[in-house]
Amino acid sequence: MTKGSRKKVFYVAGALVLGVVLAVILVRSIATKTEPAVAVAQEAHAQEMHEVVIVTPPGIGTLRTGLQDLHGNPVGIACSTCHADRGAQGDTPMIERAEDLTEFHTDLKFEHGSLTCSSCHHPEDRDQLRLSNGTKVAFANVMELCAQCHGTQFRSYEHGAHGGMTGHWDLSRGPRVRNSCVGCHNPHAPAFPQMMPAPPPRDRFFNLSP
Amino acid sequence: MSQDQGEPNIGGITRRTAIKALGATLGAAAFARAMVPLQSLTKEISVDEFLQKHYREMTPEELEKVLRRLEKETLENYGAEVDIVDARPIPGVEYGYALNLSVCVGCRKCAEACHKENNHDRTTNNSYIRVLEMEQGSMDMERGNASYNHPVPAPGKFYMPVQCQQCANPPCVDVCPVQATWKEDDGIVVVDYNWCIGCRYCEAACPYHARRFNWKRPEIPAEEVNPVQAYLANRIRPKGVVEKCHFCLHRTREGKHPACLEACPTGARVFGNLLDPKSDIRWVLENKRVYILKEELGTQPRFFYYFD
Repeated sequence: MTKGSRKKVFYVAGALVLGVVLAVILVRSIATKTEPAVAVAQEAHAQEMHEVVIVTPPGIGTLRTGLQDLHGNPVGIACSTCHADRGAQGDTPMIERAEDLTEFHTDLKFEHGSLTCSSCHHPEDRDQLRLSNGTKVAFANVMELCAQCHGTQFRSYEHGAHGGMTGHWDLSRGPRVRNSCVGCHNPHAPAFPQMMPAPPPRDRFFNLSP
Repeated sequence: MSQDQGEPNIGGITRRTAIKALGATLGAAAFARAMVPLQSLTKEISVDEFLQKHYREMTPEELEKVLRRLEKETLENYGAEVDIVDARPIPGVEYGYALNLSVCVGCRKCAEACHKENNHDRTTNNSYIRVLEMEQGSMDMERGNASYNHPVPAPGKFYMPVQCQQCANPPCVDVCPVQATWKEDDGIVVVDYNWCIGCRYCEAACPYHARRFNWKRPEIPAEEVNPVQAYLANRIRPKGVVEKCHFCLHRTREGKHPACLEACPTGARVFGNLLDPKSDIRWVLENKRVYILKEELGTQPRFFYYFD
């Protein structure tokens, strides 16, 4: 190689290196410019998320006695305590409708379509619920049972659009506590009852109550 | 003409001097009388408060001083120890709020929670939320009844809670003559209660009747004062200024839900970040039938009503 051509190669290599560096800088600056404002929020998503706790009413799946243990938890009697020898297991005939209950559960108000007891309660294992396909479900997982018919509500629930909640909208900053279906709806009479509202505003212009 | 004849001179004082002295005395008296209102003014407004700058023009040190002064004033005036912070918007967050008209039962729990959370005047039962009882088949909020007091939900009625819609194009901000109200980066329209002159133009401009005027000093028992406060949010407002819903920014800018959402027994309220495509609020807006109140006015609310 001559001295001149060597010089040329040197120049070409230098120009190439400079070009690559410039290109990298350019691409980087474009990338940072086009980064949307959402990036921060999405970053938050990638962080460790706090949990969403679904609370079921204390003592669910037991007969409530009104008593409390030392920790303040309600003391309930397991359904199987009586149902071991009553209903499907015992010699007493199985009762399927609330209006036929004359001996026990007589205060039960039932307004939930044409369902019968064993639509939801497992006829053999009274400490469990059952799905329409016969699968046993624990009382704590009652939402699975409700969702069989109330799919629209369950879908809304899954997206935070049904059911009361407390806590954080941003799970990267704190947890959230949600009610389960039976926290608000009485499964035997699920329609939301009428109630008296909180007092109206005492505004000077709104004292013309109809 | 000799001087003895022209100017009467009694005891060495000329008439000219006497008139000058009289004029000066009267002038001083009139000035003193004119300044009397200032005496009563200083009783209500301290020098520090009078000289306080606009929220957005204060340095962090100045703001810090103001917050401590406001805490001190709350202790003096209400006997309550409070913690006033300066909650700033979270980058990358724009809030949205949706309310399900299909499940709202009109129980006013949201309005009650707002009343307590935001240190409202106990005597007027004020709240940033007005729950309107509406005839089924009508969406005219002007015909809604806010003062119903009977078991709910009443047959043939539906309930529409109305609060600040946090417009992206807020008419209330446009009309403020002193820029005491503005839109923050996360979409919340706020008020600097110490800069507001109480002209109530914003109240007149708001098509949602969302702003409230403090006709008198709010009355709250010391034990009922919510001590978790922020400058632009729920600190106790002075008399003669306008206030409004701020999406509980002292809570929501910490990632928490607003107080009205937590109080709702039906779960009719959905709150979240509009910029996060995975958020619940985005799912509602994309999958439910959404209605915007007085959409035709072009205010572009960040508050949405929807149906199941």
